Amino acid sequence: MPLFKRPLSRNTLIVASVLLFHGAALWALQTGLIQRVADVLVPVQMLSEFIEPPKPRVIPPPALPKVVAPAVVRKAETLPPPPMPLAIADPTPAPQAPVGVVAAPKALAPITAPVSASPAPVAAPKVELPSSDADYLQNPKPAYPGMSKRLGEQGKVVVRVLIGVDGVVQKAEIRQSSGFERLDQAALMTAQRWRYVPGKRGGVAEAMWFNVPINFVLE
Amino acid sequence: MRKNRELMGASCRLLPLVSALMLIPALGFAQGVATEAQLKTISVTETRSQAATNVPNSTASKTAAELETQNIFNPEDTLRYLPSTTVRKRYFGDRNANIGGRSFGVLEPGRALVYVDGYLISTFMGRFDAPRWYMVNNEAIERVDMLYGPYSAIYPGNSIGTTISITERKPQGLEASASVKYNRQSFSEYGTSDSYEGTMASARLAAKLDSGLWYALGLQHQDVTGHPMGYANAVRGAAGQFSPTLTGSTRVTGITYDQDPSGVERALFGATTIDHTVQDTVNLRLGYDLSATQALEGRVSYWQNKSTVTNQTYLTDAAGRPVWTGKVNDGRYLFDLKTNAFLPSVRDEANRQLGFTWKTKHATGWNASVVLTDFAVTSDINRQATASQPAADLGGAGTATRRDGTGWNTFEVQSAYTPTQGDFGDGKHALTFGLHRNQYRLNNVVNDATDWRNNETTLNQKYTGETQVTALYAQDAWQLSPDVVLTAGVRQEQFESSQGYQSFSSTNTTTYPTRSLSATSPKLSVSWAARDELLLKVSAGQGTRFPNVDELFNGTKSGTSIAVNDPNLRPERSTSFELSAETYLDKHTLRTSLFRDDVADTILKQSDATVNPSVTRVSNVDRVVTNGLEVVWEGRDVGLKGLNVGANATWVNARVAENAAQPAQVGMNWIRIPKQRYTLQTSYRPNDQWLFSGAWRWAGRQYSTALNTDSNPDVYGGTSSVSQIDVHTAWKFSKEWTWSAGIDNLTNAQAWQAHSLPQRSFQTELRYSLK
Repeated sequence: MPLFKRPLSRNTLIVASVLLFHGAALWALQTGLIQRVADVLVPVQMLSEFIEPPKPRVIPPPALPKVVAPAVVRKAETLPPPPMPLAIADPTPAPQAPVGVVAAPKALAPITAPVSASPAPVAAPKVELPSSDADYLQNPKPAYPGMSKRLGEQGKVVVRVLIGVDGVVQKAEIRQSSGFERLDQAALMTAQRWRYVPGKRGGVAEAMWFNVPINFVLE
Repeated sequence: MRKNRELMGASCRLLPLVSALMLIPALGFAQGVATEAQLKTISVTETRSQAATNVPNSTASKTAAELETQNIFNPEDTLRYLPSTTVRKRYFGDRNANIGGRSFGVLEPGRALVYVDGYLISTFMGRFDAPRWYMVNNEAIERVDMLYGPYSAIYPGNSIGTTISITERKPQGLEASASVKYNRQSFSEYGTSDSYEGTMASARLAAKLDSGLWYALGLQHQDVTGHPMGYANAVRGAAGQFSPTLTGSTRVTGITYDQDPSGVERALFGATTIDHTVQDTVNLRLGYDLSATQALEGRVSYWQNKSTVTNQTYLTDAAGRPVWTGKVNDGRYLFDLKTNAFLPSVRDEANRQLGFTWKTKHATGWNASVVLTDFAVTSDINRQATASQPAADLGGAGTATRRDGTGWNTFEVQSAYTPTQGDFGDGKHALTFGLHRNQYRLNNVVNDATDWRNNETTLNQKYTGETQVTALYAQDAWQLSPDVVLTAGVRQEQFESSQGYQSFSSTNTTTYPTRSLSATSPKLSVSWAARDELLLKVSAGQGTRFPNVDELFNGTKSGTSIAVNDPNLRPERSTSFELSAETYLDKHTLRTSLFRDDVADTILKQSDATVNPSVTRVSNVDRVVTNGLEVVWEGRDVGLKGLNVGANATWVNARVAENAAQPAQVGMNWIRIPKQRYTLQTSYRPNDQWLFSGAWRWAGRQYSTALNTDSNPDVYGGTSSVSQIDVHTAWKFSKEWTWSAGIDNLTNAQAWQAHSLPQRSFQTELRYSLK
């Protein structure tokens, strides 16, 4: 049976106009892709953070705006973790501490490691790399928030936690939002509850910032 | 979304390279710097709760894992516990398993829109033409999703009832699975007491290759004998029946009596329409990723059926020989057992389905898709004798009804926009535009035969026709605030019926003129995540269901029945409202929906069997209003780890509100909609090996006549309440092997959907699965 038995001219017209429309859409898409490549290259500049003084990350105000699709965030998610500044004592409360954090940020344990408040001239090779073997100690994954599941919210959250010498989180903040507050909160609360193996410098445990990336995926 | 993620991954394949290059100069700096460590990514992966996002409808879903807890023989069994759903599956192997929903009964198949992987399998032809479930391979079902009401502009007007989307699994690597099922039903009713058996074998082989090509081959074979679908009978008052004068008749034993659905005394002489069906389905799906952002997919399915319908008389004469025809008496009354009481028939069918999809898969921005379906009844011939068994077993006159050339095709182009921050709409508008076209053609030809089993001689009668719907639609899901989404849409549909033709002889033909109709259906929905666990939603939408070929042009006449068609039938138009609240707690979800479906010009097709020959008429009922409440609850690990419970309840009041043509119908219950439906499902997995599950469903009685004259529903011909308990257990005794067993209708409760529904049946399955 032929697909369509109606006069061809009318079909042709409809199909042609639809194809034209889609062609245009695809073209727009292509230009979008070019833009995306440019975005991907941007992170290179982040290397400069190495020699910049530590500054509070610019993160949206407490109520994180929900976006329909966290596209910008997705791009970021595929980046390699950018190198971060030295861990230093930072007496100011995390500027972006989101509302709804269960535990109030505890006072910071004094950090004993010799760190300079100014940008570290990086030519001090005597300092040992911290041991990065802080591992999850059979910590449960966060539950997928039911509402997020219902609304199809997905994305990667990077929680930045300050892990004390006792392996307990002293401070936690959203370093990278998924674009959905519910997911961010679930990740934040989970990362705060977990226990960690503290980082060490020269064999001595030391309070240190870690990034905990949690990816929420619906399939 | 996951696909999108894959794409993103691909588009960023360059990234490691780029970053590696950048790191070289940085290395010197990096040494000795206490960089902030990044722990390995934790993935929290769950199955999505519904197939599509941005759907303004209330939905219900079952995933493959959830379906493991049910006894499944045919694909439509996956739907039996879903909220407000009735599956008219009369026996295992039934091809006429229609769906009923919130405000429509099982004989209104125009309101059930069913897709397999986006390809329409709804047969918008006749009253008994069910979705072509048999095109689905049991092994391949990944999930089923149900959408209620006409609230999305993306779906055709048939969505004024229920939209069902069956998703078949795409391979993730090499996958192979196979299962063998055996089913046995003990059935006892009137003079019948017998066992009916069925087997079903399904196999699937699928693989995803590194080249981006994937395939899935499915094979399915079933061989089933159903219990009787009817009984030869006579009611008191019919001419020549229940006569007290017994002279000139054969004395027999075996006549049983009851009261028919209207309460009239009835005598039954034997069982009819015992269907032995052998069906085979082959599916081949092929997919290819043209690039990271473009994919092609195709599907070819072929199905064939050989069905043999036999009958069984209850009557024996004094010598113990079976009596099939003639005047008989049992000492009380004389009955005239007509020569057409026990007609055997044979049906040979073959269907072919083609599906093609091209789509882009960008995570954000514009995407496009093209979907084509072509479904063809490549051959369908139903040969029926005009005389009873056993004479007909040797041949003799009959008819052959052909539906070859019947089929449908669909064409859909869709463009969807996924917003990004800072775009033209400030990242707040998810847009969908599309063009849809479907075309249904029905050829129904009845030829006379001198030997019903083997030949066809002259044309007896025929009717043909075509319907076509072209639609343009647009929808915007607008994120008004982080918690509020407003979804607005409109669907403009253009309908045309053409080539309507009836012929009873060379001098008695009717050609119907082409007729065009159009309808605009607006939709609006607002959802508000009032709290992190509470979603409130209010939706309003219109939808238009156009008449089908059968309703417009089927004027078939036979010695026992006359169908009266109406070429000027108006489309049914629903104005629907829904107010719902959904609660999501850690282990519980609860949805409560208040709904109202107000349908103008509801199409009613109904048979009047009180006259002989019976007359089936089709008409518009001015207005039918259904108000209802639907509550759906699901709980995980309820009191015990591994114990899941689900329950749903629906209460509806569906009544004829206006009908100038037949005022007596006003106030009557709409046909075939139970006022109450309850389902309780529970499953317990104590460990990875064992599964125990059970379900109970209850549906109140229905009315099958427009004037609600059927006062005695619990008999053959009635539409009764249903109370059925199903149990199931599965034992995964090795990594690949699972054995399961179950009983449907554990308490052997009888129920009728005009035909008798299955009694207690036992099923066992052995399944191998390699993933």
